[in-house]
Amino acid sequence: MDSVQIAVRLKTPDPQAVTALNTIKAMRLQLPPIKLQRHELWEFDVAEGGRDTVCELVNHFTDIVNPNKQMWIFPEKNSSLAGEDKELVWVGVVVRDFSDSVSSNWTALLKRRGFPVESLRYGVLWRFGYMKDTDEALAAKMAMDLSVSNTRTGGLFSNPVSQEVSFWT
Amino acid sequence: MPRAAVIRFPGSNCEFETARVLKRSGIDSRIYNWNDIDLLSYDRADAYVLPGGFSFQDRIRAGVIASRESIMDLIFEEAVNGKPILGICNGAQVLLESGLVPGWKPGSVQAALAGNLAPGRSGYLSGWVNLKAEPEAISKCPWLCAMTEEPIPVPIAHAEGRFVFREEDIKKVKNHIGLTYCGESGTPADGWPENPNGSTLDIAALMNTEGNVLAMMPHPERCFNLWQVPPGMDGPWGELRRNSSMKDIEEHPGPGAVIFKSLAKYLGVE
Repeated sequence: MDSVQIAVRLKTPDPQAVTALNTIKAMRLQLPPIKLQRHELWEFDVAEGGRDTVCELVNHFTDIVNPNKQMWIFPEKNSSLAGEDKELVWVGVVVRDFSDSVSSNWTALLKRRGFPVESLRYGVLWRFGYMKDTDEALAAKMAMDLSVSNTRTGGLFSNPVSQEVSFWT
Repeated sequence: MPRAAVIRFPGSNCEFETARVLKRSGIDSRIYNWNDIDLLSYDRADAYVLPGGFSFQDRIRAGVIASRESIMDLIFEEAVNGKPILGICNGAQVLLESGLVPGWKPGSVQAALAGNLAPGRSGYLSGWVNLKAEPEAISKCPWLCAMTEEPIPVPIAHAEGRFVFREEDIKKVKNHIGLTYCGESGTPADGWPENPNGSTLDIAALMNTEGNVLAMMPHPERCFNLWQVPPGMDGPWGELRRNSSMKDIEEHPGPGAVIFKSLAKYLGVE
């Protein structure tokens, strides 16, 4: 069984990332990210065919990737993604719902259509770009603090009651 | 005449009908933009409504950007002062993301309105559901005080309406339930479609500890009039709609009117 991830992003600047970055600016943090990227992260547990199977289903379902407005890659962990300034220190955080009908319904649909996919998980990958020379451990801590909304004035990217957050490493 | 403020965020789309039904319930109402803070600070209202629709395109997740806006500081202050505050649909999402509901520790996010969870379906859902008020909520919530324990049909339209709590908080939540989804005769909801989104404990509306802040997912302003009830609906409201004359249909209040009549009763409107 292969686990294959794809990262999907808009070809144009993502309005969600733009709004999020503006909201972060208003939070007046001591060390805010200066760039922010948003990707949809799909993780497939593929019984056979590996990446070829994923390519086939991505080309088949425009609900996963709409080629008119989105682009996608097999992301390599610990390397920068498309559109990222390599001089910055980047931290990736994945937000997923604890109970997610998108994942379960897609899993059922792909099985029904005969794709050799055991399961899939949908999430959102936020990539925080911090100023160059920022200590990596500090950047990771800041990104995680910013990712969990424990209070109204605290984090932003996940509600800890219904969502889980993990580093994309 | 008491006065209610309806707060419009970028993307709200139910503010006009909400203001209209408040007026028709005997409460003067005015729509304020989310950045009319100075105006609203000097001209405080007796009650506040965060209407349905969207806010900031529901970017990141529904209600979260609006909950960070400065106007919510004012709403927070008024909630602490005991003023009645109602969030409908997206307004409810804003109240939960603000930590006003359930409000065990105001400002802390202690509940979520997660994506709908229904067998074989995901995303946006619209339709009619039946709601029942909890007896304790009728006695302490200004938005429910004119209700009886009879169920009412009310429309829903949302993609993220499933009330979710931490496991350790479920017991506490029972004291905060305002409205629950139920069967047509008031029996407890038997899964989907009576509970349309998989909400914990069939919750459709949740109050804060004091009962003055109510976050509800269904849209009472969309069934304020009897003519808004579909003629083909089962149950007493559908029957009333079918058996009414055109004049009655135009004049008779619909099932959602009781939410706004409750506020009028609470504020002493004759």
